[in-house]
Amino acid sequence: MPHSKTFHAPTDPDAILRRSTSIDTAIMIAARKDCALIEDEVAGLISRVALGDRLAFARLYTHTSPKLFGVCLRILRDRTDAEEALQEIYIRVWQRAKSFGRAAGTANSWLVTIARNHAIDLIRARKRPTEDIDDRTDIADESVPNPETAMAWKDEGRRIDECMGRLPSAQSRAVKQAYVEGLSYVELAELFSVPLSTIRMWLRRGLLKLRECMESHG
Amino acid sequence: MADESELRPGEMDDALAAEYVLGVLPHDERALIEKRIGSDAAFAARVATWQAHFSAFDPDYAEVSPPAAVFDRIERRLFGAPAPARTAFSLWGSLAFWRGLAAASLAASLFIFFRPDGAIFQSQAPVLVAELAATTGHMGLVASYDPADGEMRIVPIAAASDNPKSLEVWLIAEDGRPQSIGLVDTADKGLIRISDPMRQRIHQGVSFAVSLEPQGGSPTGQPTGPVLASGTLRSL
Repeated sequence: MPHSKTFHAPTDPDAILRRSTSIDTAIMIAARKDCALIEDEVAGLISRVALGDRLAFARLYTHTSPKLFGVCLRILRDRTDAEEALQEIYIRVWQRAKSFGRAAGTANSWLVTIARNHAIDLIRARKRPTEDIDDRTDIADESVPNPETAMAWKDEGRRIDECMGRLPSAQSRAVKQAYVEGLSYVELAELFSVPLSTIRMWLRRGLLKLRECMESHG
Repeated sequence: MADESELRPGEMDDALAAEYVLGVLPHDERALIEKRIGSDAAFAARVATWQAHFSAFDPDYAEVSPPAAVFDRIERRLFGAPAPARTAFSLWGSLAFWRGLAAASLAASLFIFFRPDGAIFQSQAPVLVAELAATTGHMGLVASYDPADGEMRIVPIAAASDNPKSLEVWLIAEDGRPQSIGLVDTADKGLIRISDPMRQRIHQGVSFAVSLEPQGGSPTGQPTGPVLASGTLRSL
């Protein structure tokens, strides 16, 4: 069996998916010159972690924990909670490193996915009181990414940016804010002054439009 | 939901996958979807596709260096470290102690602690220890055995098993014939109750092995799956 992601039979839908993400990877490497570790290096470290290499784990942590800590802080809005979540996340990274090879997607997005899923599970389980919603938007407005980093990543997100641009601005803002800040439907309903009973329908319509656009560009 | 009737099944799944990736769903619905991702490959592929799309937003997360103590805590939880002196016996405290002791052999993954005096709350250190080296992967298990009540506890540390299998522990007698000691029951904190006849046979020099078996244990009474770890009980 060939073990490179790109050499599977083209009829295998997984292989097609993987191949398209490896193209994304190449674009991202080209776009992220400012980043300390390129995508391939992170992927290499994760593979070594899968073999139980503690040094690789420490190096992976050094280079990727600021990003994942940023994810925890943004979604959890609490430093202590974010520190605890980060511990749990890297324990999962250690435990799940073996499944990385099977996962479609890039190494960095694999890590961010583990972090986001854990942070979102925590806040959903926590059932944040609704009065916090105002605070959350205030903090969100402050934490605008630095323009240089945003530029460096621009190519990678060009296609989705274009498709997001075709959505009504409130819908694209809802999609992006939900992803980045981990907002729930309840929070989105309040934030966008849409009744909870219709927010899901409204967002889904946006998501399906987004899908249609992404597919037509694929 | 009112809008579900107007969605085709494919659209419905795609919307659900996108909602899951965005994270907007309530906790119970997320849990259901996570289960489905494990069992429905087509749905998992939809999730992966959305994940790839939305990862374009990842640069929005600012990088913030976590305090140095966080990594120390992660390492301690994963690999253990010299534990502070404690007055009462704690399996997890001892785990840190024993893993510290075995720092030179990090691949070793199963330790069995023996307390032949049965004084589980008085003694700081077990008298006998078996170190069972994994032959595949990095399955992490720690076991303690209290001869006084015949209880063996085995706790997986880093065993990431996503398929329903059982770990079965075997005593390898002098004639080389494995005899089942029991299954590693993760729901019961790894407790294995050792039968009286078997207790007589657990002494220094005997070997243990752990094999991967169908859920519920070996159907034949002999190991049928791969042997994940094995080792010999010895005196410190």
